[in-house]
Amino acid sequence: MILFFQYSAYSQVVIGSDISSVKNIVKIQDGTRGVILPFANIYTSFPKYNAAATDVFDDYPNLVGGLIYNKNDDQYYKYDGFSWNPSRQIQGVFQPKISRLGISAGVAIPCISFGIGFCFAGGTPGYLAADNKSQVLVDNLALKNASTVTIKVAGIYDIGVALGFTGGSLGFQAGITEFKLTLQVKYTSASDWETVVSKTNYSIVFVIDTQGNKTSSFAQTISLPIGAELRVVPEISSNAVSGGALAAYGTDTNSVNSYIAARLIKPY
Amino acid sequence: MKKYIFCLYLFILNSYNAQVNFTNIPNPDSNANGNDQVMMYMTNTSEASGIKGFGLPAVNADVDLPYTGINAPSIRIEALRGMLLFVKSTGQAMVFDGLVWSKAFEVESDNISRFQINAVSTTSGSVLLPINSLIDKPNFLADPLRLKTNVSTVAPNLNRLYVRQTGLYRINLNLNFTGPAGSFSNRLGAGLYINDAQRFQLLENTVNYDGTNRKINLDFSVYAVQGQYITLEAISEIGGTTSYNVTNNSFVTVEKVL
Repeated sequence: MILFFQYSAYSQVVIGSDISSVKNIVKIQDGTRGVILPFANIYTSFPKYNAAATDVFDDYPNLVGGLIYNKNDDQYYKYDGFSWNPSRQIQGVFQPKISRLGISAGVAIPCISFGIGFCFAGGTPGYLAADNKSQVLVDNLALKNASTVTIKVAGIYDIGVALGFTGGSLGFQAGITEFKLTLQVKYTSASDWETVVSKTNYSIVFVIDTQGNKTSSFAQTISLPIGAELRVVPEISSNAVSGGALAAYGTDTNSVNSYIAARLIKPY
Repeated sequence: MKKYIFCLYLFILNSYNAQVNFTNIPNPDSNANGNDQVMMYMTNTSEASGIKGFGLPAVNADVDLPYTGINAPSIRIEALRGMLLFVKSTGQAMVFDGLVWSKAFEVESDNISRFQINAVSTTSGSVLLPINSLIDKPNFLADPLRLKTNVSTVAPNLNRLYVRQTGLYRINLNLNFTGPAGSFSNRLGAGLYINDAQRFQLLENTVNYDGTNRKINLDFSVYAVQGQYITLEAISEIGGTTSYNVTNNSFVTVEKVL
């Protein structure tokens, strides 16, 4: 009955004590006894789980603030309206010093092959896709300009780059095809593009052709001034002996495989 | 009427053993032999019929938190210590200590896991890396990302890192190779798999620092989804040796970037 009257008077349930406050809905008595919140054996039992969603959870504003203990890895998870995240980790979309930008415009990479293949990038991919929190695409560093990716705060950055290649050769092939990614920076508006780093992702091919997706990625630390522009140049080369033509490649616009990410480690 | 019955139920339970349960478990504290330290159990009826969570009260922004700004108390409010509120605009669960609010759960610097690689050898040019789950903080081996928590130490799980949060990860591999003198390829590297599907292979020009040892140090950037597992392998470029060892002076460091 005490509980009932408290509930009526304050719209509040007090458990274990008669201490009440209008700022609490449920108050658990202080002391050595704890509280166990709901648990699940694995994240796939969490509310709004959807294996087909890009972050495996549906968006659901009414569930914001939900907490569940996951016995699979023994930690609490919190729901932020988009996905369930470990309670002691910041949710990616709220990380203030990072941008992850998806591809807005892919490029075609035509190839020629006479025993040795060469492919020429006809341009560089655009990384100006709209933000999408369910895909963890956010621009918290405001890097996106109308047509460029431009640094707004001078500092040392951790740059992560990934690019998926689609298409490729058809038919019999044996040899090695290399998928290269080059990060270039235009330090001032008057300067030329300068290569910072070039990394090789390769595919060993025996008998089987290289058709199918390949992805290249790397991370690089770099010091950047205000106004510096970033771009990524793809390149493909092959020494494969081919029974067919080395066909043109394209770039994968799926944000799982293709993105540029910049994390501000320390502003200057 | 349901509200009356519910409250009476709470009252009776509260009177009986000072414990209130929202559960269908008949005797939830029986496993503690009467020494239970749990005040309240809240459990779901079954996973099969749908799990429901416990919703914290939420405010829109930090400025909406009570007892902030001009309303900040000068004397600690003992009765409100430990109060939790969720702030929608920042995604933070906040805890009130009676004077000020702070983040309840987040540890921003706690986003790097590091593991030692067990020694392994190959004669085929590539080999999956066995990742030791040992936590040894004085030697900077730790797992705040819980990539290995409750993961068995035998294959195939020995090779796996389980992703607990969808997002962007930077994975550094520091590998030491040993093999016959003069036989190494110029380029050695590593491959990264997501759920056993190859995502990347990176090659590095290596330095032959004493004839039989080579070392690579490379960073992958990878977007992975909660529940997926990552496996890593050592690779050598075609044309060089296919027989080599990866020593246990090798490490993998995983940073959750976003």
